[in-house]
Amino acid sequence: MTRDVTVYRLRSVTLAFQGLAGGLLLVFIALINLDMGAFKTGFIFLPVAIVYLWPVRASYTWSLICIFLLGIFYDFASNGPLGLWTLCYLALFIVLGGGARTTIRFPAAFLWFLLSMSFVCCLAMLLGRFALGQWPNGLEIAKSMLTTAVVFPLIFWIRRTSLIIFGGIEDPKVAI
Amino acid sequence: MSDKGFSRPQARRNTRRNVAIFLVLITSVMFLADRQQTSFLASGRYSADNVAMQFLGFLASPIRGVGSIGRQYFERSRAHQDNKRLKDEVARLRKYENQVLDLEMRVNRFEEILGMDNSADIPIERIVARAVSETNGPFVHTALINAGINKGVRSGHAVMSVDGLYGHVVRAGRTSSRILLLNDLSSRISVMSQRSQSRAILVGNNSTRPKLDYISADADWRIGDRVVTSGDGGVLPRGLPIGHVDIVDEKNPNVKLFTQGKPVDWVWVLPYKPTPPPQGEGELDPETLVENEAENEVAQP
Repeated sequence: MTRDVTVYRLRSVTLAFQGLAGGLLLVFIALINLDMGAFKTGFIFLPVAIVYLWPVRASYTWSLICIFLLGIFYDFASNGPLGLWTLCYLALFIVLGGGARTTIRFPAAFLWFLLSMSFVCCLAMLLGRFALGQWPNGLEIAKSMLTTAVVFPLIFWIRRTSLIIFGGIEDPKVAI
Repeated sequence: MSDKGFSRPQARRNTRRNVAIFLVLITSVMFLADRQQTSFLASGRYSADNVAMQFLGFLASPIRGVGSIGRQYFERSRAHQDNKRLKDEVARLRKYENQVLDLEMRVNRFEEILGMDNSADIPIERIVARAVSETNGPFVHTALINAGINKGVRSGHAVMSVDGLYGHVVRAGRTSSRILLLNDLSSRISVMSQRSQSRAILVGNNSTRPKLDYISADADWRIGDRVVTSGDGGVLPRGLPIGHVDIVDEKNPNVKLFTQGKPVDWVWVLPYKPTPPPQGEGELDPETLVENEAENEVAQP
């Protein structure tokens, strides 16, 4: 019994670090600028996807720590105000109370993701206003949100496929 | 029941809540501290830049490839117009070519007669680097290049692209450097109009077109004026091309940057040594200084 509990706890901690690893990958992609001539933007809201799709069975306490590390790294690497993204991601995770259920269907997940992104956007704008002394560029934010929303289905599909392959989903037929 | 009188789930909930509050508090403190002091946790930023540079080198290639598809389409669609415009420009500039060469010869001659230092202000040495990533977000406009202290890059050095001034180095790590672009909110560059020599400060505003600020009342700025670095303050060399004045409003004209809208891949860093501040009066004896200068003049052939 004690051994089972220990294994369960270790697994939940490992899942939190898996979320961190996935988040770091998305942070690196978020740091790249997409330059298509007239349309120049980036995926700055991409790490919101990993916070929303955080592993469900991950330890909540360790998840908070991992999200803190993820946000700090993003703040460092993007050269933005230190703590801006960290506060946004921590707030989002606390509000959501954990990652999205594995059985959630895509339309619902997409809607929740848009809401999560809007929440982070509002918070980032307020914090940005406080840190920079003026409102951040709204057009850039809108473009980044649009680009991130376009990429979200791919991230959702990757998560679903990996859950089906590694057996992390309760019943794959329920939510395709 | 635990020792404190809570049941295990309740104790776990308390731990979660305490950790959440602690992390939010520590982040808030960092946020406020960073607002006051830009170099807060600077070592963390250096490390993050170095790690990001390693990964972004791999990740940027396919994304840039996708981006270049769209860019190539736009470029090809206006190739005919560009060709015509360039032909007109060549025809217009050809008549000035002899004039410029003649003027250059005369200026060199005058400088020789007057015994002036006619060496260029812009350093000849260049450190070539690749712009690994460019962050054009709503909060910051920076870029990361794959050259650092190992190649001689130092904080404050100007960074050029083929089109003009790209930015300046704000943080030089071991193998990477962070460039602050001209349109970043915290960018301030002393500039002048190449036509009228009027001075101003180019202030970044997180938009595509930074504005000219701190303009004196009698300054003469017009649409189309070529904006270059003035070299005032001795931080950047004089004469680096920046852009041209685009829209003139009542107070602050905007500047369309030469690098704006152009893909920046390769850049070069100008290892310009800023003019050192004068030393304290107690440290230098004017008489000794004059004697030393006289000795140096004698020693020179």
